[in-house]
Amino acid sequence: MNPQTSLTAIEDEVLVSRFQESQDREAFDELVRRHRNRVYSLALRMMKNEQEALEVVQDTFLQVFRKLPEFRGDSQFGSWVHRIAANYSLMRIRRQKVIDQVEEPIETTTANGTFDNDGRWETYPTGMWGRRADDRVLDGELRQKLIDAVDNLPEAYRAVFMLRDFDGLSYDEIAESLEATVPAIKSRLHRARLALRADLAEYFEGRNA
Amino acid sequence: MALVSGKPKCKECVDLLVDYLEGGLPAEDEKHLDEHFMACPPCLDFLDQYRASSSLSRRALETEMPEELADKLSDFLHKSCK
Repeated sequence: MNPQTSLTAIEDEVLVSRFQESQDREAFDELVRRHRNRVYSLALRMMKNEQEALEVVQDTFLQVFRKLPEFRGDSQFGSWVHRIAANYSLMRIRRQKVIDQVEEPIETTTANGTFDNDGRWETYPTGMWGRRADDRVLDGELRQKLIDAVDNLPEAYRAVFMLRDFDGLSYDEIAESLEATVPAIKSRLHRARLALRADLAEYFEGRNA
Repeated sequence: MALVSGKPKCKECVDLLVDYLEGGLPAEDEKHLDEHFMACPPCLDFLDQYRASSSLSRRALETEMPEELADKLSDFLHKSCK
C-alpha cells in the first residue's frame, strides 16, 4: 500500500499518537496537510492579507509541533489547532490596533426591515433568497460578495463570526480568547449575522430589480 | 435573555435568534417563538435569511492554501521543527 494513501485513511488521533510515541514526521506532515486549508481560511479573513495569513499559519503549526507531545485529547485535534490559530491571529490584530469595543444595545434595524415602537415590522424584510441556501451554487460574483461582506464587518464582530460560525469554537473558548463574557460574544455574533444578512439582502434585491 | 410575555413581538423574536437557533432558550420560550414563526411570514422570511447568511458566508470562506504558500509553509516547518 502506498504509504501516503495509508496515512490519509488514518484518523487524526492515531496520527497524533504516532507523533507522540515516535516523533513520526510523516504523521505530523499529514496533520498539517489536513488542517492547513481551514487554518489558512480563518487567518486570511482575520488578517485580510495573504502574507500575514501565512505567518499565522506558520506560527500555528510550529506551536502545534512544540506542544503536541503534551496534547491530551481533551478536545478534538482540529479544534485545538484552530484555537491556536485564532489566538495568533488575535495577537497580531491587537498589536496593530485595539479591537475591543464598547457594547451597544442590540441593533435590530436592517437595511430593508425595521420595527415600529411596538416591536412589529414597520417595513417587511422581503425576498425568498433565504430558502434552501444550502442548495445554492456559489458563483464567482456571489462568493466575492460574501467575502466582501465578511471583510466589511467591524473587527470585533468578524472575529466572533469567524471563530463561531466558521470555526465552530464554543462560546466559552471564544470568550476566553477574546477576554469577553459569553453574553457579549453572543451579542457580537448576532450583530455580525444581522450585518451579513443586510448586505446580502441588498445584493439579492439589486439582482431582482 | 428570556421572553417578556408569551406572545412575543417580531423584534423580540429577532433579538433571541442566537439562542433560539442553538436550542438555548427555555422550552416554553422556544415554543412561543416556534408559534410566532409559524404565524408571521415576514419573521419566517427573516429567519431563513438570517440562517442563510451565516451558512452561505461559511461556504464562501473555505479556501485552499495557494500552492506557493503551502510550499513556503512546508519549507518553514522543515527548517523550524527540530
